Amino acid sequence: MISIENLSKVYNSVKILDIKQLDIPQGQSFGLVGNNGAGKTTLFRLILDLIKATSGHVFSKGVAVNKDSQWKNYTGSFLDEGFLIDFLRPEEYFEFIADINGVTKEELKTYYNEFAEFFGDEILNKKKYIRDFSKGNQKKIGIFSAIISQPEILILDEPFANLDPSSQIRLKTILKELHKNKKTSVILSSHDLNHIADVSERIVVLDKGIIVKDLLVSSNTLTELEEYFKN
Amino acid sequence: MKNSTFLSHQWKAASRSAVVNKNRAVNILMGFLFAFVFLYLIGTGFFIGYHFSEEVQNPIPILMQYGLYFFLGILVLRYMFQKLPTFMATPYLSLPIKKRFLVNFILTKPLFNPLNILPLSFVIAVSLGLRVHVDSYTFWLLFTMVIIIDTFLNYLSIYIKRIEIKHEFVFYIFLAIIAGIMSLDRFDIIDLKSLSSNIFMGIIYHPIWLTVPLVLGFIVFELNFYLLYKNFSLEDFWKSKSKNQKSSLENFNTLNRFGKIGSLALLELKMYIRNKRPRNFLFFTPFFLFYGIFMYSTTPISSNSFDIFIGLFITGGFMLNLGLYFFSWESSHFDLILTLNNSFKDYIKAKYYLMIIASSILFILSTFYVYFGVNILIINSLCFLFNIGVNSLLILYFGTNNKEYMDLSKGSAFNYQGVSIRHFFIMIPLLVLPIIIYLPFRLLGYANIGLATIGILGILGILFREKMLHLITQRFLNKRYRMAAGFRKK
Repeated sequence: MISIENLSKVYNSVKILDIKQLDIPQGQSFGLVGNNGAGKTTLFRLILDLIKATSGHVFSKGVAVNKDSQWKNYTGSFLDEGFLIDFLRPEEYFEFIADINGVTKEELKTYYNEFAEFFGDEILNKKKYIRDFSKGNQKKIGIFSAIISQPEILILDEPFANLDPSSQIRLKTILKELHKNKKTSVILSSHDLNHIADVSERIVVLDKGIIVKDLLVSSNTLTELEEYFKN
Repeated sequence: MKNSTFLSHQWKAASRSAVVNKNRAVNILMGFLFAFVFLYLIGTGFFIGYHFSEEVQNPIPILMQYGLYFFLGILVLRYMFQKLPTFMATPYLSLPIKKRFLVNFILTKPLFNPLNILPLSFVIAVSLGLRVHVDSYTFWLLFTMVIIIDTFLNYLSIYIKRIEIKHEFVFYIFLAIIAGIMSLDRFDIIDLKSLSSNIFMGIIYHPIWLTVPLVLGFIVFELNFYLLYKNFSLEDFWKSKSKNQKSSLENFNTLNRFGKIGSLALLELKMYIRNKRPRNFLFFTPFFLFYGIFMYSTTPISSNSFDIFIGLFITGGFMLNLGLYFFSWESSHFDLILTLNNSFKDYIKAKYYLMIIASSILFILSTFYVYFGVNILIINSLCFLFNIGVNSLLILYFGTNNKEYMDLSKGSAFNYQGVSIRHFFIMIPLLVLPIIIYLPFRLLGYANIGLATIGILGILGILFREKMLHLITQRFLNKRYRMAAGFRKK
């Protein structure tokens, strides 16, 4: 589904990402880990065509993402607050995203119900603008907005950061169900090895822009990752 | 903490400020502008004084008729252009340094504003121009009077501005009061001239009256002091995002009927209304519309080129205020715009139609200018065509060069965050191009053909809009990485 060829990104003559080959097949749930500066966000931004690759290509369903925006029809994403329209109320924001994606108001209502537990009482009917919400609640708003279009590929950068423990657990359930029931390719990054090993089928470790490990998740993946990051 | 350490911190804060380094070009431009205004004021001041001393027997009482206009003008200009004196208070609040000292520090800052010398130098220039008509007693009296009243107005404008942070309606009330006074005067309901003459001649004969503005000055200073003293905490006046952002756009869903373009246009409109900075810009649009009232009635209507200029202003208020910063307004959610599931052409069209709608509304409102003659109406119509046909496309085209992050929560007057010198230059082709097109025709004696050409270009722009919008979309696609990278740099 997503395939990356000879992809590199150079900033101020420093190569911050250099991936020879990476294929993420349809329906795979994929986790990206690595220390700060490993290039996780850069990779996501390249996949979403937000920055220009120095060399190489990202293909989504065989089409280069920077040449054709077909991929937008089936990709949902939330990387950071740059995806939030902070002067809207959450409902207005969701309705806007739904509108753009051709999702009806009724469908949106059913998604609200599915997410009722994840939202708690803190998101809907608050009569507040998004900019006045806490970081954690903003994250919930962003994650939900990425799912509204029922995408085949869902890309989330650090979705667990800033969430309270209960919400983290609920989010894991949501992501697992999306993967199981709707065959969504969930692509996410996290600093929390436990969470990512829990929701992903495959984990790739980035270090200074290079893939250093590519693991299919099994019972001892977590120990292997912990060993790796100890050094 | 020693006060001298504190002062040295302030000096470092000023000299190392990112704004100073980043916006060097704008600062240099402002320096030139300041020098220009200064020399201009001295020049005109001297000329006015000289003129009166030659023409009139006893010029002082006549000049004093204009005293109120002068000070009212100062108040408005100070209010518009002067920044609130602030400093990074947060790190000092928890230190053993007296709150009273910090507040007084902020409040003495405006006394050292370089703008302060402008009104004074103007009055001195006028007095010098008057020569023999001003004795040294009157000169020093005027000198003291200007300093006292100007200082009072300085603190008054600061006080209003500071209140406005929390209660934005104060801004509109202030403008309404000024506009109210001016129009009452214009329609002879009140007579500012004789009032002014009474007040200032009174002061000249009985300088004791100067104590009134002096006392007022102290009162406003104290008001400022208590306002700051009471609110000197981490929240309130230091927080840029006030929570009282209200909106009147709750049921504005008619635009939704036009599908995606409508949704995008509606979003843009909501952005303008719910964020302080674009809202201020939006508020100035009607002022552009009424620009003609002052120009047509004060200048004899003869020069078509100048009327073209005014015509462009009248229907171009929205474009020239908000359009210049297209894309930059969305800098805080531009990554979303780039990943949204819609075509970029629709996204750009949304802006295009917003401009067309805004200009059309302004045009309909501007038809009352027919009062000044049919010729004016014709010129305005042609300029309207040019605005929607050509300028709208030019603005979108140049807009793709925008790559500065815009902080939407700060007020707009003399706020240069996110503004670059380029924005000033874009104005030139927008306003000058039609005049350049018109002039050769007029010089050859075919003024009407020149005017018609402006309108025809506008119509051509409307007819070929799809093609042009396509070109702009291509340019947007080429520039999108650069724009996004710039917008991410807060």
